[in-house]
Amino acid sequence: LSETTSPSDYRRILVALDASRESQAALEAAARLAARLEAELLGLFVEDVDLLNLAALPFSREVPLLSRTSHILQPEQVERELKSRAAMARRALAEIAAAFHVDWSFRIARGRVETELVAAAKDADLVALGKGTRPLSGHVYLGSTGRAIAARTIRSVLFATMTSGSADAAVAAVYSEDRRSGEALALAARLTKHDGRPLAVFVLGDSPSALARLEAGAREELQSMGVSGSVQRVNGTGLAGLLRAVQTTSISLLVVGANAPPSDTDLALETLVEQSACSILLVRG
Amino acid sequence: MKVTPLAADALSRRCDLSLLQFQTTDELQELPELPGQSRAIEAVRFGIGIKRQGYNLFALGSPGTGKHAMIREFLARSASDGSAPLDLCYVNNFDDPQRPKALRLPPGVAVTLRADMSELVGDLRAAVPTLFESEDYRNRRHVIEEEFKTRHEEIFEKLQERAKAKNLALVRTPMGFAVAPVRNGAVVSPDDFEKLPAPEQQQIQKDMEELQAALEDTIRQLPLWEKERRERLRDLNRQVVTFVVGHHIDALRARYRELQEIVAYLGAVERDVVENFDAFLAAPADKASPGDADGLPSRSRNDGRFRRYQVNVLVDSTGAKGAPVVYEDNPTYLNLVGAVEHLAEMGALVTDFGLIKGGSLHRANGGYLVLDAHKLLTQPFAWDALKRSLRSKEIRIETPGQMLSLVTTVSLTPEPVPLDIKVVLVGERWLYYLVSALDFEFHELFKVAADFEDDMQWDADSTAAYAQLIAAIARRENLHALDRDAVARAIEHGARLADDSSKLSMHIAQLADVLREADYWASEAGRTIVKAEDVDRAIRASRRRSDRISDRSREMIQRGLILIDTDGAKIGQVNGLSVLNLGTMTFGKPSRITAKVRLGRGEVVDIERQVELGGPIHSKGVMILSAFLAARYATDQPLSLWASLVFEQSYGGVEGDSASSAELYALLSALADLPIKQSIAVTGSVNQHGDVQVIGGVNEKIEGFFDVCAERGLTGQQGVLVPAGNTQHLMLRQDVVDAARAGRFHVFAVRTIDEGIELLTGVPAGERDAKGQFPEGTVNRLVEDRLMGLAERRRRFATLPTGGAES
Repeated sequence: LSETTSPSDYRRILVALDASRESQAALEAAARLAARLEAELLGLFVEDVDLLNLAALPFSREVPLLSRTSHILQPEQVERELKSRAAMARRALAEIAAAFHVDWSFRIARGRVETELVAAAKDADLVALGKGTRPLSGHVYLGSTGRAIAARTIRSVLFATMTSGSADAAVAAVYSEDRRSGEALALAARLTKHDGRPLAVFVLGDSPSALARLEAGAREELQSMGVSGSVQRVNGTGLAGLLRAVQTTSISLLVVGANAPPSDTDLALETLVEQSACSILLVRG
Repeated sequence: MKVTPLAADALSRRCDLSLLQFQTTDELQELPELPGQSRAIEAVRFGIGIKRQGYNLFALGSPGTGKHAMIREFLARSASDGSAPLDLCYVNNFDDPQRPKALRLPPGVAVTLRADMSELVGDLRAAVPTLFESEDYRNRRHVIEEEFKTRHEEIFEKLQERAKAKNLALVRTPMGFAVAPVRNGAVVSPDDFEKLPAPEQQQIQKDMEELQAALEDTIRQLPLWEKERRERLRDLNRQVVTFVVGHHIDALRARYRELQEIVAYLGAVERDVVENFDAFLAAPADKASPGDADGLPSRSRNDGRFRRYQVNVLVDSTGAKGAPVVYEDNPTYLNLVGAVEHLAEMGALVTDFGLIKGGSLHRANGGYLVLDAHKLLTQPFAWDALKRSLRSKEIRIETPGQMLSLVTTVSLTPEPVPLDIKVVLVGERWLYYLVSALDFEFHELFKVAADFEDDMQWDADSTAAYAQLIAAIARRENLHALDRDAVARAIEHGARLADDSSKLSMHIAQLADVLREADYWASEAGRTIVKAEDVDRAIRASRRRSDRISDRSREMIQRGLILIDTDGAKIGQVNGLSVLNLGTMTFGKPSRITAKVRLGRGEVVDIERQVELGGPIHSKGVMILSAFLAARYATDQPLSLWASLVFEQSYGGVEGDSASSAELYALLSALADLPIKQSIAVTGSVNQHGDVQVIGGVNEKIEGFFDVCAERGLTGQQGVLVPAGNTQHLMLRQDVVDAARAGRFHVFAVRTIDEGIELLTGVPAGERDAKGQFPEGTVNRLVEDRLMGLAERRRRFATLPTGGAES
């Protein structure tokens, strides 16, 4: 499949699983989304072939984060570790899918992580993965996998965060000149309508007249959907204004339309992912 | 030696109406102090006045003598001149929460401080989150975060660049990182690696080792940076919080600048809030309600996170005038010294300074504490706790478990509070002497005893004073006024209560009962003034209400179930008199005492004692009889009789020696073979010389026999023989007096056994003549002859061969 799907028709959500806390966050966010959209979860665990190759080299050493000394990386140990993590990931998927009453499937692939995910994304409508977290410092970053998914697929992407606030926090949509704004707003509205969470709409425009027009448009769309929400103007189309609005509002998920593949917004996406505490759903296509 | 009946006027003293110069008690002034208690009053005044350690007071006396009322009145008077007590509150000890701090503050300040602290918490809960959400704070925090993020990324980027330059890459592994050789963005497989020339392999291996070493160094560095980052953020938070907290607390410091204790506490609060500001940022533990009585959100008081800043007020002296006077009605250990209460949380018992509860020692600190000694001494640990507090001059709140070292779980040890108090114990006399004898510390701590009299002398002065006392009771109890005759009747009843015609009872409670009841009967009769007949009726009705047992006893006598003769004469049989005390009711009743004699070895057997129904004093009386017989009749020969004495139909035990004269009369009658008049009952104890001695309950005993005789019909022969010493105690009922006046009943007062036996047998007792002989035909001669006969027979028995018989 190469054509993109409207958010309202998301039926398959691919979740990148590696049994880390980040992927658990992605799994939860994806499961919640799947339940709202009546979609299916496709769990994918990639046995990283780079890691296996490295372990097979006789002199490769692992420098653990929680130890002062390195040790030799054993291929058998890595194999065992990957098997164990895959089992954990499968179990987590099964449990959460049962909790949210969604269909699910699980697959293990061996290869390079980005390659396998990009390949698997072709069969999905949306890819969910966790935001990267720097070891020890806990700094959030986009990560090479996220960057690859954003760059090499046209699918919508959910970057889930581990600190997305309470489940009752608001869902926000960015409403701008972007052609996907309507879809983003519709998706956000659908999510809040389903579970009664508040809806916030950040209207981005580069002039007062544009802002007024967009705000009127947003309100009209909300009205047509029969959903109420707070509409907030954000001056300027730049990232700074949006970030400020996101950081000062208690939200758990920001739905934003985005280019696919990204062009000059590449850096902006990275900044948005890293500096917002909530999960980010890029509606693309 | 003839004994004549006492005149009717001698049987009961009447109040001299001329001493009562008023129409009703409304005209009487109240007495400045309780009459007849000058000794106790002096002691109380001294005990309250002296301000030295150990000069606490024990007011001792019978119940109902007005001890409590007088003590309270004196204390109230003394306390009004004293200064109001300090407030006391407990606050958290931020350095050691297990040892809460006590603050003693001027009156009214504790409550104000509590309100201020509650307001402070409310203000900080609003101000701190606002500050942390401010743009300025976010920017400053962002700068720090960014600095470390950049540092982090730079070092990894440098490593990546170093790796890239050598065709290596950093790879995430399950546990950390590793350095891998890469070609075309992918890790070189082992097969490809094997295909590389050996020197290249060696170079790759060497490069990897170098980079691994650098990676190790970097990873070792990360925790240090993280620590540094946290410290920088903590410093930032401290600066920010210090600013806002300092601003709020400075205002309080200014308000309480004169009170160094509070200023120091506020400093500790400030430091603690800065250290624990997170609590002010977190979501509330419970849902806030719109407001409470303080006008603050209720969560500020109830939210567990902020309990540490509460002020637990134990003593609030707002508006107090004078020193406190506290009467603790239930002096348990915890009610005295206070307690540390616990809350059940998640199955465990937890506590903090807010659960410290004050005791009466706290409330009375700086003033006076009145305790009922009996209640205090019957409460476990309470007496010891009070002594410990008085000795150490501080109040230390410990659970009984802590005090006894039975509990070793972590609990609170609140800071002890200095104690400055005067304790007044009120109790009965026996209790005072018991504690004095058993507790060596008692006199060190209770040096002043105020001994309340049970009665006072009845003379002209005291008659007037007693009338004033009656008037005071009537006024205090909102009773109708009593007229002069009623007062006189009440005074006479006071003497009856004292069981003494020369005394007036100081049992105020009993007197007050009669006055209350007389007031009732006056009201029932539609009178607004209480008259003598109302007082009489009150006394009669009171007796009637509790007279059931006495009635039943007399009924059994009338029905012949209990054998009591009230006429005729019997040998070796006499009517003794005993008193039964049942709660508030005391009544007398006759008991038949009989004696039997035969040859023996000089034993007078008390059958009551043999079967353990006789008490030691009764046994003593019987042994005196033996001694009397031996001393009077058998000084130069063996006392060769065996005599038995018994209280007939007595199944409940006999105690006291008031029947010893009656027993002796029975014994003499049996020995002399002379009948005793059954129309006369006898009471009085006897000594070895044959002197009749006073006994208690003389009025009840006479009335008890009178009632039995009256029910059978008074014959004019009946009467009671009492010790002459008891004539001063006679306060008999009017019907008894009236019968005596009419010659239908008699009261005889005797000094010696000889006087008594003459009266009872109608035969002269007889005195030894110059030859040492009693005259023929006298009681004593008959007794002596009988004893000599018994001695002779015994002597003859002694000379017979073994197994022989008397011829």
